[in-house]
Amino acid sequence: MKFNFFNHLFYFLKYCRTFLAFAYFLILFGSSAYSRNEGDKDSVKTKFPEIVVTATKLNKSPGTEFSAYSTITKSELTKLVAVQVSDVLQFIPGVFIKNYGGMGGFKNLSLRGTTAKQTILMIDGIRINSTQNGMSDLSIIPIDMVNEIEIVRGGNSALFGANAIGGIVNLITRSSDTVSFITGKLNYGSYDDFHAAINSKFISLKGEIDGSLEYLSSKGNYKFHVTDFGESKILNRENADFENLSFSISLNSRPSDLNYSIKGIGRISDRGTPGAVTQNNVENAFARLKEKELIILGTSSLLINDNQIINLTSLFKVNDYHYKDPLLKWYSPNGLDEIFTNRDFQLSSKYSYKNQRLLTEFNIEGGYSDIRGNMLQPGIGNYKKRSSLGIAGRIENSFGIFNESDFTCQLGLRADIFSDAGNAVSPLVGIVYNTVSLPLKFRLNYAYNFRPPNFNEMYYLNYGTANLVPERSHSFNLGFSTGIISNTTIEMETFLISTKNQIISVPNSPVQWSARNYGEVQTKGLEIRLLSSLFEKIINFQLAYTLQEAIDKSSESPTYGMLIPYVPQELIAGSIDYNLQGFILGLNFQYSSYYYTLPGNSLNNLMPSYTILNAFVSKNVELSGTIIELRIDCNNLFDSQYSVVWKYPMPGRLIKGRISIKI
Amino acid sequence: MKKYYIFSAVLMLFIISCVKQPSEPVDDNTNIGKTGAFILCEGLWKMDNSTLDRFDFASNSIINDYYGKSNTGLRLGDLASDVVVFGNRTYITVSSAHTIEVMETSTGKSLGRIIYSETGFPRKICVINDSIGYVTDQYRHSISKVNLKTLTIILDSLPVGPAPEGITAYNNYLFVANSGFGDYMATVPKAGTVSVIDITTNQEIDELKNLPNVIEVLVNKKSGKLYVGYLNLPSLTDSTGGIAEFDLNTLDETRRWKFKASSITLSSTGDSLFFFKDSTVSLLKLNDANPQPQLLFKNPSSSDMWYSLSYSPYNNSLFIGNAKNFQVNGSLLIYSLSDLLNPKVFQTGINPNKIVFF
Repeated sequence: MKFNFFNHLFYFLKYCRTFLAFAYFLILFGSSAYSRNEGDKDSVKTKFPEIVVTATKLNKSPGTEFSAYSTITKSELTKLVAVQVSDVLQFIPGVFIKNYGGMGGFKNLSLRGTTAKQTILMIDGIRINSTQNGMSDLSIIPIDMVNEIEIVRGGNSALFGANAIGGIVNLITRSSDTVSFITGKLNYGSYDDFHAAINSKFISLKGEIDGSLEYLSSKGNYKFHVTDFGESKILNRENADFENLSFSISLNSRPSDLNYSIKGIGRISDRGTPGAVTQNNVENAFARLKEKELIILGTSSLLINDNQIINLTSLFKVNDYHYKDPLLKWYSPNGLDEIFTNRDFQLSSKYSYKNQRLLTEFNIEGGYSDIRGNMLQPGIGNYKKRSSLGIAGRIENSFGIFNESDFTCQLGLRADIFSDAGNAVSPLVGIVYNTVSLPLKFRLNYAYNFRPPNFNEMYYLNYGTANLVPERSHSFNLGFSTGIISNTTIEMETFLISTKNQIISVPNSPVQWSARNYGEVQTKGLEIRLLSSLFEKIINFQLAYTLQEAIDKSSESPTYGMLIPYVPQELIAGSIDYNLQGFILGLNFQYSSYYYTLPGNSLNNLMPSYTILNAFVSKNVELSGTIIELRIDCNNLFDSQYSVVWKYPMPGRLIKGRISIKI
Repeated sequence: MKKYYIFSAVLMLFIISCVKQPSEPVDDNTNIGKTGAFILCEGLWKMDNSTLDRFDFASNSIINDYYGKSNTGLRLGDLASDVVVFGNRTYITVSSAHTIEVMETSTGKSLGRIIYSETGFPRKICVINDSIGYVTDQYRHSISKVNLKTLTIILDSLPVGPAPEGITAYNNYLFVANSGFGDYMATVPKAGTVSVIDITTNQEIDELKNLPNVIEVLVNKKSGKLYVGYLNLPSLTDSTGGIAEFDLNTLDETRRWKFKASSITLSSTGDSLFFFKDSTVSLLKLNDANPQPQLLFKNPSSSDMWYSLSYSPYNNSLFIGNAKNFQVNGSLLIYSLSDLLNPKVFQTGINPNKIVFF
């Protein structure tokens, strides 16, 4: 099937009348505001470069202006009272969180209909995806250390390496505050959801110290409806308790020709992992997962002269994983007792040369990972290691055209070699066309991307397949962003991702699966993001709209041409807040259209659409230089009964209070 | 002019009367015959989507989700593992739901259920008579004895070997396949054996050995033989499973065939044993002096996974449950032994794992 933009436009028109009406109103309103400033064209020009609202150019990852790029700022993180990273990402187009329910439920990120393994999660530009399973669970990443989040949608392996098929999420931790501070936060809500955090920054003439300490816990015992043997009843979610203690500390040099930073992040968590709620049964009703993790990140940059800079980054990460389910008696008479230790080392150096128009980058990256555990295939023993080498280069050049517009292009190429998982060469081409007379920017990007199989896919007991090869994926993106309406940014993207050799779990029997290079998946879609501030930021509004279609293109599959499970065709998320005299009243919502939970697209496995509405009110008070925020949130205002993952019920209405103090 | 109107009206009435009035299709279960087959579709683990389909010989048609359609608001649950028809009662073990569902065979109406504790995992059932049945409990490494009239558990947990699968009975003896669940519990005592249990005392009196990863036990009453299907251990890639034959009176092993075989089923005469061998359906002619597996027909599609096999005594044919890729609706293939080239195909639920006739 050819990519037909007009088909999408038709669906868009059909299903988004309300949105269009609102957008029309906003455009009318904004246009009038813009026309009032028309005489003062310089002011328009100076506003334009800030297409991404409040994005800090210092933090922006290189090469991302050619792709669909969004940021979530610290103020947005605060406004959405995020206690987990997943709480805020769903307000970005193309993002779908596969949420297993409750604070302790796994939360896996899907970008543009791809899998969680096909998205890179980074901290300060350094990849932290698990080499054991390729993913990062968003429920356990400490949010309080995060200052800003970058989201790059679409494949970019030449820039970011392995797994960059759906895109990247980069958690930027370094605070832009220029004065020392201490912040304390307490959140408490339904189901004993508790979040406490202390965050501080001390600045001296020699450097800065950032630190955070964060504790999350929940009983997770929310109510949900089930029908067993024809009788409807209400149950409590059991074994869903969750505790996560994390800290981060970083030492940063003061800005100079030689900058360095070292950051340590530690985490310990313990949680029940209840499974699917089926008739008269809750799978994994006694299963527990304990994890310990330590991440040490180092970055340094040496400014050789005005044109040349060398960056060095390093990562050490160790994760202890202990999963125990006494009821899984087929593994042993005592059930399943699974223990793994996964270690990763990365070292990367990048040389950049820039003159007025030309930027050249050369990057070399080495990696070493290993895993020890008691659930590896019999021929593997209990230990497996992997080493990797990546070499990349990128050129970016910009041209002026008639003094009215800029034209920038980039070419990139990266080669990766893995000791046990194949090789990959990943090219990249991108163009940005930037008009000066109008605040309008067009971008086009093509990248050929890859994802190597992870340790589980290759070596996990009775699941892994040792001869897997990397997934390969073509990614196209065409989009524009404009600030043509005063105080409003509109971003629109179309994309196509075509992935071959996709590694999927193929059942050998209904209860036993194995990993295979089997699938071919094509995802295409349209994304719109709208950000607006009206009446001098008294009213702030944002909307994220996604229309997408992920199709199985595996030629011999009985599900050829059918929709891929867990990829909703339409996602809408939005928020609006009203600020007056220290009070903020906010509403936000998330909508997902229906999707299938199995490849056969049977109506028996259809997940219905859902809309969730959340509301909050907060009040900021300043007393002698101390800022106190008091806030009440109500999530799932209408107590909707819904699931994101088949047979994993989500919580109903949740009320929570918060107090935050910043000194 | 008036007569033209009358003529036109009569003509229109005539034409209209020739047009068949459309009627809303109804799912009518009342016109089905008395003989048929149940196709148990276990669905996928954690998906809660097991179903029971009914094939009707009289109309040569299939009713999908017969249990659900016969019992509004009810469903089987997660991982239906076994179905046995005994007179006008049908018993279905649903492993993850910890239940044995009891259904009236002729109408499909639910008669109730036996509910196990949350640690129970009823796997296969053997019905002794209209009041007594035995069930293997795969997670508790035991069997249970149930009263099929009162729908209660008489003896909850009689220990056998690890991860018991198939169960059958002959005279006063039960035969229980202790699989060990492949490699997982291969070293646990009694793994890869068949426990022989005296029903009168509920005591194990013997065990049949050297049957790694044993799954199936099948009694041939006509010849007085027991056939045991074992799969061997997945880690032992250089050896295959096979079928062993035991004398039911002496419990001595009489013959053994080593090849990768599953879903063993007997002809009504008891002289032919059918089974899947690799991606074929093959048979052993048991009355031959030195029987060797003979190819009957091949699976024509490399992407289809044949998952269950049963010999139909009603029309001398083989019924095959095709699970396809284990994730989509499967199909029922009916191969007449007198015409193997033209199988009939009917859609089923997900993962048809057992076919029984009534």
